[in-house]
Amino acid sequence: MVFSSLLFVFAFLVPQLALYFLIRNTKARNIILLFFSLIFYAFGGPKFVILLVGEAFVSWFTAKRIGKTAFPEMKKRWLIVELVFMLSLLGVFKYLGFFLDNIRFFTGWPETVPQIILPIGISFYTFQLISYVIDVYRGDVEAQPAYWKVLLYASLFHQCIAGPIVRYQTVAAEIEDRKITLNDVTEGVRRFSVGLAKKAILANGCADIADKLLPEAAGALVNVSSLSMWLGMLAYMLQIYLDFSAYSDMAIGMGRMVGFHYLENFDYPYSAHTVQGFWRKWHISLSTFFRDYVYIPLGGSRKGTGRTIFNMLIVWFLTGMWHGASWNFILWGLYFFIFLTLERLFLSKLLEKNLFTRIIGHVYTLIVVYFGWVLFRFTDINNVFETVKGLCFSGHALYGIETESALLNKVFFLALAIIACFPLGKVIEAVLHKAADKHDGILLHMVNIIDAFTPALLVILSVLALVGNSYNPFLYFRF
Amino acid sequence: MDNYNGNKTEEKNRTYKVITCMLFAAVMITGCILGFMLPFRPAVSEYEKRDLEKFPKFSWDSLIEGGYTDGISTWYSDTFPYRDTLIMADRSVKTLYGLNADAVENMAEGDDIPDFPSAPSTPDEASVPDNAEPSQTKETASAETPSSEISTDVTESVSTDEGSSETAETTKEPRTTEYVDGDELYRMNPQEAGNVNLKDMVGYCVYGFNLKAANIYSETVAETQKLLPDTQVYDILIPNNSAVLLDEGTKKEWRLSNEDKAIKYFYNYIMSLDDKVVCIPILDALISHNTEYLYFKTDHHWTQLGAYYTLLEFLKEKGWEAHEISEYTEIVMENFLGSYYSSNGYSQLKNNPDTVYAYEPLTTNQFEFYDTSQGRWRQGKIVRDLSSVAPTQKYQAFIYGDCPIEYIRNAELGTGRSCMVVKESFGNTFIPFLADYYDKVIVIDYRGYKESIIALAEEEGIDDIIFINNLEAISDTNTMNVMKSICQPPALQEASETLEEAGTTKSE
Repeated sequence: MVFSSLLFVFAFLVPQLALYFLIRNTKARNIILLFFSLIFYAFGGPKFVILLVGEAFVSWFTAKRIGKTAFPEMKKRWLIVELVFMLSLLGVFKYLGFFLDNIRFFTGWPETVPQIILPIGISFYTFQLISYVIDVYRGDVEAQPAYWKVLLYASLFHQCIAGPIVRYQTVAAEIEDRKITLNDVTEGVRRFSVGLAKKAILANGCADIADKLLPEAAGALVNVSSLSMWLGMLAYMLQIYLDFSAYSDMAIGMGRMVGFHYLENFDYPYSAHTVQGFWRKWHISLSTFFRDYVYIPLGGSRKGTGRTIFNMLIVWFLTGMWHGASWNFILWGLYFFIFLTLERLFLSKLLEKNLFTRIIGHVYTLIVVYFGWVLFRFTDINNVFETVKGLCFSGHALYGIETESALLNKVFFLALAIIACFPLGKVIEAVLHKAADKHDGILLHMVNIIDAFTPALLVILSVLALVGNSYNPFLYFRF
Repeated sequence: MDNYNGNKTEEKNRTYKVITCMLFAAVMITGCILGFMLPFRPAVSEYEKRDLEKFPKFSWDSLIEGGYTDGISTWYSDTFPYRDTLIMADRSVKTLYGLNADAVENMAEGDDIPDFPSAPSTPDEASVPDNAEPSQTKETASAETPSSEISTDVTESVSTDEGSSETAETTKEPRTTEYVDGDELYRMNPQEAGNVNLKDMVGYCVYGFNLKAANIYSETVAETQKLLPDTQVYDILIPNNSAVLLDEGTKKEWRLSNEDKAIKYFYNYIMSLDDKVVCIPILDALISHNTEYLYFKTDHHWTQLGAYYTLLEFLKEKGWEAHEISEYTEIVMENFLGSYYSSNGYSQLKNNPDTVYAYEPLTTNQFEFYDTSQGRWRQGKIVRDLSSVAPTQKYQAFIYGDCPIEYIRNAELGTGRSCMVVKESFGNTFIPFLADYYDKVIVIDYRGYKESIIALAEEEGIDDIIFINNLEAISDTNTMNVMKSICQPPALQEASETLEEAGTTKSE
């Protein structure tokens, strides 16, 4: 089940919230959440529930052992057990096929590579559980004595299959006890509605444009004109942010409605003026995971420039690989490693100098990210080369009639999608509220009324877009 | 005082927050209740002309693998109450996305059309083209050495044939029991609209030639003539609206296959295989009338006027006299939104709806058709007035849409002539005219009919067989294999069915 489906919105979320609000007791509420979360996960393939339940069990057990023992050696041993177990499962389900494919390419062995289905959300909940056990090991958080609460943490449908990667310490206290305030519910409602509309209307619409202009079938890109490619990649760039951040919005919103406060996962990354800044604003929960659990333990930037760069290489190789078991994702990670290294060495200082350099920096960042998405989109490297060639106006017609058609017929839509990627809406809202607060008259009422109607209206518009829209891609099956 | 104001503002804020949540809850709960109202769930979409998803069948395997739950999710959204209305609303919202300009989203990707040494052939000049690849010349031989060829073809056809398996034995003899009239609609295998581009608020077919399909088609037509030496086979290929209406520049820009060249390829190839077949070119005739209303703007079909000009060409060939179009009783059905609209929802087309002009046959308007949905023969009007049905359904005014087999019996005409028409939906507008020229017309929709038309033609003592087909419709290899499978003698059909069953069992 995906958030942007009618089944989820109406047949799942409504009963879940209704039951939740009928009951006052936190424990009973947790049980309801766990029950619904397991059903939610089972919808994507019931057999993988065993994996989720099993991973949660092992993590609960090892964390408990780590918490109980006073001996550092024993703690370490249990941590290793956890890491080996979790990473092996992730390795088998996500990377074994890729690994064997590569071996076969070079050696001809094995003859057939088993087709392993990737359990949905495995990359997210495996990382969550690892972070939990490491945090217990580090003494940052107490081990949770109740297994079902660890399972609830890992399986909570808000974030289980598409992030954010919520740290146990963020929700530890709220799992035990949480209050729901009107303010929280209202904010949750707003956030969820915005996320749903972002996904159902904007991201799906952008996907439609990108897929029409950038066909993935072998050889099909040869006929695409350069300007179509530019437009198609722009649509893809918008799609991927809107889609991914929409899921985080919905997760944060749904969490908020029931009293959980998850951390922000996206902070308008396309407004960054360095690549480093981009990564501080993009999928924050993943970047901080690699920072806290890989980069810093490797020594971070404390062991000299050479070692720092090596550590970055490791982190960006892993970041790329986390996004999918395919060379294009690894190259995508390494591509960013190059720019991040350049920035660390000298570039970011140059770009931070003044307003002018910051504007240059913003353009540079957008271009780097834009070309990065080419690597991200095509698993077939030939398609990557063909697209880059087209984007560089080489070997492709400059312009095709389909470019004009797509642009003219979607011009307002694209403008809206671009606006949605920047904090402009937020700024306008703040200005309006400020002006309205000062006058406390009709303007205030108007602003409040618009505010009050917006979530309901967004849900209605999203439902319209989802009914009959068979095109509802889910990007995270690879993750 | 300040404090008082502060509390007041907070109170107001609180009120607005409550309103926000209540409105959200109202929408969500309404949607939830609506979703559970099973009787309100539609089974078919009038708008999209298709059967909607059915609730998945339960099996442990599909539950464990996730297919069952996927099926539920698709069913839930596909059959959501009032879906057609909601889709219409969504499409209205989408008109705000841009300037509603020409929509050119598809480029044709056709095969190269092989050149022929000469234009439409006298039998002696024509020969199988050198560059028409070994595959088709081999297939031509399939009549002589059927077993090896049929196996592959039939297996291919099995997977795609969504047609009506119930037609089986029952379709042989019309046993008319019930007369139907009025607006009753059928959904039988609608032809997919294919790729479409918009220019000046009109939808155009993006046609790409398919060599393999073209060869199967040509061989099937020629083979039918060979198997029925006492019957005259006619072939009429209907060009798409893009070939008749668009200027050369646009055709080039959209990389459309040249339909003139394609039709010549078909005809040359057919006649090189059997020179008795009479191929009737109609493209030039249609182009000479292309300022008239020959094709719909929102639908992939032609109008009955287009079919009328084709009839004139056919009658010229036959040496029979034509009636003036003004002699026919005209039925006018306004506000028709066809497949180009329903498959893509272009607002440009919605604002430019079609009118269906239908012409009743002069001598009879009765016919018998096999109703697949009910599994029995019925009787109805050849041309009927569907002014009051949904805007997307009005093409069904002609011979009730795409039934697998139909009979027009008009013995009073006293010509003693009979014909069989092998068609897909493009033929529907042509057939009413034939009622005035033949005592008996048997209409076969090759996508739904399962038996041997060779046997049927022999049984019924058919004089003429008219293949009337649209270029886009016959550019799909699988569909052409389906056509080929019914144009075989029953013995071969049985052999291929056995192979088909064996294949199915094996694949299971």
